[in-house]
Amino acid sequence: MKSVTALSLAILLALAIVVNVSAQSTESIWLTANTTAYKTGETVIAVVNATSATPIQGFTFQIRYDPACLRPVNAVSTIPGMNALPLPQISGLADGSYASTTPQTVNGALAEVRFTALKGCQTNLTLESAALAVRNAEGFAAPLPSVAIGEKNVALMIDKEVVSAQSPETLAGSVLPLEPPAASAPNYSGWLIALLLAVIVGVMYGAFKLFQIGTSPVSTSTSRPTFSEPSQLPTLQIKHGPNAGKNFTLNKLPCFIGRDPINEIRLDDPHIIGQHAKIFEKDNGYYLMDLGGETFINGQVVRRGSTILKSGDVVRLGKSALLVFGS
Amino acid sequence: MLTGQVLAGKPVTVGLYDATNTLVTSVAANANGTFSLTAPAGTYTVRATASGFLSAQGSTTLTSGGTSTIPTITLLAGDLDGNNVIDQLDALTIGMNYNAASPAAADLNNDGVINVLDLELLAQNYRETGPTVWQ
Repeated sequence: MKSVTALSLAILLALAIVVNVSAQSTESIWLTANTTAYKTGETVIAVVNATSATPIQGFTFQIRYDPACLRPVNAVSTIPGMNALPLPQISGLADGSYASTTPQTVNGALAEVRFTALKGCQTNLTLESAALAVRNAEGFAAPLPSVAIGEKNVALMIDKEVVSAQSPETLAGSVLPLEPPAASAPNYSGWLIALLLAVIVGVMYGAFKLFQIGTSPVSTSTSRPTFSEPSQLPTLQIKHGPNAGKNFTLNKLPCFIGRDPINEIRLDDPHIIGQHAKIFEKDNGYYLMDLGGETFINGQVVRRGSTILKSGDVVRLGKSALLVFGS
Repeated sequence: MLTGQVLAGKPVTVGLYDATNTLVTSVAANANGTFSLTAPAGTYTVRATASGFLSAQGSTTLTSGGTSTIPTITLLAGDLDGNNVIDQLDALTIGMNYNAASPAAADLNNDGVINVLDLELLAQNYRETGPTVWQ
């Protein structure tokens, strides 16, 4: 009798362990919004969330939206070390891809996607696809199997009442690091890293506020763009071509880029025309206009028009000059 | 004989396949992408592949003693995992291996390091699917 009881207990214990492991290994992704009622002009923040018992090295999502009601502004991952990969976007679909060179634990918000409410309407955000990814033995990104997609839809009510244009909030994400990785960092404890991040974000936020109330020299300075010092002004980093390694702070806008000396940023590159492109500011955003040369943003051609620039966008001028925009 | 040219930033292999999709012959293209293949007279599927690129595929008919020339084609960079679509997972592979040298398929410009230059090449062809029609 004792042996039967012991066996039963052992089976129950084994079952409990299996059930527990099963519960821990559940991976899921779902969509939320900070609130569902907005006024025209307000910023809608959609959050892609996930839980995963397996540390991941990347994730993707595609959020369907109505471009008549919403205009995407930007998206960042809130996971430290998870970097945005700038890829071409199409109207109506916010397409996000984020990767890390090291595995990251996720349990909560993966990324924030921000939209501007354009007019009074009832609309939906729909998580059309999403995946959590690991790096397989061959080094390729592989989706985790059996990831459950939870809440896919967020219904939004946008009132036609217009509020004054909101400025984008400080974002704590990052784009793909474009520099070689730093030497291995000391093993700081988590709280110290969190404290440092809080200080950095605080300083950035303060500087950003200063920028917003007009103390920035962007609109008043008559000086040329300077090689960048620590600053919250938009910047251009040249990553490829004859001028690789130069960094510019855009402290005068509009800023013309080209081979002629009259340009604010002169690039001595045979593949760049005299006045190749310009960057200008409009409605609290920065735009790139092609002036007749070959100009691409994240691989998409810009032809005699202007395209809004987002932090981390990769701009190619001509055949060789590769610039990264920062703001 | 079949001659032609395949442009890609990486080494290219061109193969002829029969009606049962069995490889009849293949050759590594020259550094400038030119190639020539010899096979018995018949109709074949010709396929060009390069690591990290969408493949290109067409049909060709060879005659005994004759030479056919297939138009020059440029392979599209970005299909790192070889599943015939350039998608988010291909981009993630670049991000996960940033500043590394492998997997070699992610080094699209063949400069020995996986970085933003490779991502830019992929971005130009993002959402493209293959195989590219070659005729």
